[in-house]
Amino acid sequence: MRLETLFVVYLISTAAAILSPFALRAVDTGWRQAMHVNSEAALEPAPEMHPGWPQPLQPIAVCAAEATGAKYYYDGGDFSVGGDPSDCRSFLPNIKVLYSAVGEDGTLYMEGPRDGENSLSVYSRTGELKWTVPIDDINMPLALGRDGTVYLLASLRDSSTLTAYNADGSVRWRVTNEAEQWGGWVPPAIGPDGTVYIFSGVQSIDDCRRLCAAILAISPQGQERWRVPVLRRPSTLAVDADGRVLVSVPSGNLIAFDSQGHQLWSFRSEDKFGQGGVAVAGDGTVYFASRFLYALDRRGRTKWVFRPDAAYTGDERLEDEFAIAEDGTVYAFSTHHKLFAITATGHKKWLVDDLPPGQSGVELSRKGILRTPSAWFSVSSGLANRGWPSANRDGRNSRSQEAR
Amino acid sequence: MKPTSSPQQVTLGVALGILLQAVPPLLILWYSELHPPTGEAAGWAGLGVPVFFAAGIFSVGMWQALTILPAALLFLSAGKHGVVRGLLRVGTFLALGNIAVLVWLYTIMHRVSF
Repeated sequence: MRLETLFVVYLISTAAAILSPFALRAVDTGWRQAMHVNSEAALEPAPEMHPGWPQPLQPIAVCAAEATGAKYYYDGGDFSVGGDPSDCRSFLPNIKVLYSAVGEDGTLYMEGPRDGENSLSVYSRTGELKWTVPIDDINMPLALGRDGTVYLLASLRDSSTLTAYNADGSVRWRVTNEAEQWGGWVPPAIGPDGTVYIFSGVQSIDDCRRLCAAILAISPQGQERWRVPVLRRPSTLAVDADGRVLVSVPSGNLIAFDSQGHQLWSFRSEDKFGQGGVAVAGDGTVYFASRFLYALDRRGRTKWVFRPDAAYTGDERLEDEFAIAEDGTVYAFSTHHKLFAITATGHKKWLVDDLPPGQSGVELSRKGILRTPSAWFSVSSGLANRGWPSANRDGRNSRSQEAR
Repeated sequence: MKPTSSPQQVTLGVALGILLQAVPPLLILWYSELHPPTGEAAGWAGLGVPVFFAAGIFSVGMWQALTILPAALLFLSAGKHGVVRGLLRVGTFLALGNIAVLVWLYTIMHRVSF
């Protein structure tokens, strides 16, 4: 090769090397901008935003017991009960509530430090203490059977214990699994037939030699019905109205089992990092928040995917916890501090992108009060009555699926 | 001066081109030795050295222009065309290799983030 040619080749190569980072960046930006996102205009304007918490305090999401005349109010760990908003600050004494649930008869179930000791405390709907028991640790919400049985799962490093408490506070049974527990906590879920589903590390299971992660089905009598292995600790357990157990396994996997423990289907999202949250609408549509919001039919096939505007250009993700209203609207929060209302057909119903600063999260009451940590809205429809429409299933935080 | 070229000169040019790649980092290290950072900047400097070398590895194909081009022009004016050929071959190889590494990195990052 002639020296002049060699010089030209060298100069072109060097110029290309210097320009290649810019070119790659331009290609990447163009690629991201070309990806499909839900950037369409909202179908309707957002409802009026009320910054801060509802004033005077509105009943919190655990308010299904309104039918019995009781309303419940929560303010930074203090819990109050009453039928009149004016006395809503007559809080329950001596307890800081971390998790709460409400029975069908209005009975209150509270987890939190009571007089400095971790406890499960149960109150009548008028706020009188019925019973209290000390518990080792408070690390996840309880599940509440329709007969008033309380299921509390305590996961330590090397063991997990599921305890069933009778309605009078006595222990009905305990199921303990001695094994590495994989860190983190997965609250139990109750199926329509009363079966309690938990995640636990176990000693042995098919295809597992040392660290065994499993979903266990425990009968209301405390007998293990089945166990199936999962790859790692799930982020969410939910049960739909047909008794199918939905397990979100990070990152981006959703697995459905039937009530006998047979895998029905599995779904893989585009998420590679997140935990993933699952909820089920009244019509059986499974919603999987895993970077985007996926709507799946009963066989796990994708009906539609909702991607926020900056999903690719700004790594905007939808948070794991969301709520489904009775009219099918899904309310979800994004990592860009936006609140989305998404129709049951996957369209952007409305969007709020000027929320006051605050944490993320949405709560929807049965009366249609949509609450975020920094603002609240009055929306057209309350939390769905059927399916598993929110993280703890219903406004009572029962984590218990109703029988058909 | 009559230009000369031989296989030995080309080999010398290649060796010289490779050796010259150590010059920019050595200069920066020498400079940082002469002007040690103080206070909070010292901590960041400690963190910055490995980052600097990592960045250097991925951009050596661009940096080579700072050394190869002056050296090539110098030897060209001296009539050592064989050495120039060796230098330019090293520079071309590094530049093309740099592009390949960047495309590979981009592909990996793209796969992770999408």
